[in-house]
Amino acid sequence: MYIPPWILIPCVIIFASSLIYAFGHPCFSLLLNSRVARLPLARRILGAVQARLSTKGVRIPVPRILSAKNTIAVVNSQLTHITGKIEGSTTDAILRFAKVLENIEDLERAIQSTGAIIDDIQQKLALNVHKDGQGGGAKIDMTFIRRRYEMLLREIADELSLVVNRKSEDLEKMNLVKESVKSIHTLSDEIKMIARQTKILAVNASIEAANAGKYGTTFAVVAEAIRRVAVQSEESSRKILSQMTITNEILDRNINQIEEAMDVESRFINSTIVVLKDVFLSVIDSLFQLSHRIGVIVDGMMSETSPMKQEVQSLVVNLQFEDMTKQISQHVVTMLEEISRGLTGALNHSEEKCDAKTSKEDLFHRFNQVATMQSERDIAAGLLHGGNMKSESPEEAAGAPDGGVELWDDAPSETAASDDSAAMEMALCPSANEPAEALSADAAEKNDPDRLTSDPDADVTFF
Amino acid sequence: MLRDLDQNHVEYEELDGEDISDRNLFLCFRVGATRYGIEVMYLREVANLIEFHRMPGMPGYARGVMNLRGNLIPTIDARSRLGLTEAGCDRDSFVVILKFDGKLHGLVVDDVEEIHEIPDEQIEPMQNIYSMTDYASRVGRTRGGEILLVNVGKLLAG
Repeated sequence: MYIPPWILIPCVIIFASSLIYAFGHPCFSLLLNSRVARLPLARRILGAVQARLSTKGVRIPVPRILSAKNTIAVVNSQLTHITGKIEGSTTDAILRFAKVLENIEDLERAIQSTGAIIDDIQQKLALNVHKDGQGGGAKIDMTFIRRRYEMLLREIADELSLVVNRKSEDLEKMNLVKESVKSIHTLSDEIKMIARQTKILAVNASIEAANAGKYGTTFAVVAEAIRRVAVQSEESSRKILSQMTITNEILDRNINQIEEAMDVESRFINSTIVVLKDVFLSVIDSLFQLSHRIGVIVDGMMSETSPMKQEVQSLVVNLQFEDMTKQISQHVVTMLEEISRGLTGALNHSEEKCDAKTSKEDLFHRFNQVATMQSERDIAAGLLHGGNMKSESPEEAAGAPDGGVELWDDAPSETAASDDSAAMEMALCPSANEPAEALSADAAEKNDPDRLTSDPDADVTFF
Repeated sequence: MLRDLDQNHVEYEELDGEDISDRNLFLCFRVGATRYGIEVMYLREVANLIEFHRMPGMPGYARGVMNLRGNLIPTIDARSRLGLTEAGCDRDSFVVILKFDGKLHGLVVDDVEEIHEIPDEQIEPMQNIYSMTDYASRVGRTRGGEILLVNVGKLLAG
């Protein structure tokens, strides 16, 4: 029976591998160094098998894992703290921003009220506002307006006193009219006297005519005519007298009324002057008050800007805190890298023993060296000293994974788990890990090369 | 014309007293509210009231002596003479110059009106009730009302 070589050779290899696997890895090491291992596929398979064998065969010491777990717990708690702080500061910043917005709205309202007051002033001084044409807006020069009002007031007072003077001149004219009426009254007396004389003449003519008898008949006609004239002149003089009396009374009454009216008018004018003065001065005072109010509002606006400034300053502080957070995050990243190195070291130095307590102290010491802020140190100190007590419990001693989980909450546990898995991946990749180089680099950074040689376990414990 | 005037003047001088009494002409004057009439034949003229000079021993109803164009004329007050106590207004009063018994007399009255011609049938004697009838014993009827006709002789007699 012919069996093709492309089937036979793999079957033989599988069989041999199973045999090698059954008889232990020293043979496998020989095989790995043989020519077969030069093939890429075979090398890959052999690598996987070696990894499997090393995983199964190597026993990682429990104190190292606990140390690494504690480191991860510290890092996780640091991250939790920082996350909480970031959340708090973000909320605080949002609230402060809202407050700043409210302040800005208040400021806008204040500016609107200022505009309304300025409009009010402009309406009040619609006729007499002094506008600065170059500036574009309405600028009110208080001193100028006050001077202008006083000038106007003086002009009005002068005009009113002129009116009073003219009225007194009119009164003097009225008195002249009264005197002329009186002279007319004396003239009417003369008319009356003439009428009387005419009457006497008529009577005497009649007497003469009567005494003349039949010769005086013609003269009696003349006497009669004279008598009629006398009667008419008497009636006329009586009428003139009555009319003159009536006219005189009317004039007297009118003059008295005019005098009273002028008295009232002058009093009214004087009071008007006083009232005008008061009104103008009150308007000017109100202007000053309005300007004062505007000044108060402007002061309020200025005072409102100071809390805004404080808000902005607090925002700047928050930003600084974010910078701080960034630093802490960098520290955390460095620590995680060290954890991965520590786990790798644990894999490589599996035979070495490590005390959990000393590793914690050392860890704390290293944290103090890395951490720049007191809060970080406090958190690390609190956690490590608290975890020191717990590490002596039977669960921790037995290497139970739940013991470390108790150190952080549920939310950061995801981050911790991811960090943990990353550290494990790094630890499981032997080609990527160079513990000696990493340790030497660390030692170079800390200028402590003696520590590497004298206490190599410390480095392994730390990472 | 001048001759006519002179003739009239002469005739005026000649006409005196009773010669013109055939026509019953009366000058009507007023004292108080009462109208009186005086015969034209006793009248000389009517004048304004002027200054009086009161003489000693004159009766109460006499005003005094007035100087009218150089003639000193004794004057009596009609109000006082006719028994009216209330005083009139001298400013509006007139003086009627009478010629009785060859002498001029003045009579102060409140007002003079006009000359009325009263026929005999319009003249009635007044009843002798009061002593007033001594001064005015007759009543003449005119269109303007009744007038008391003054007895000049009684009025001027002391």
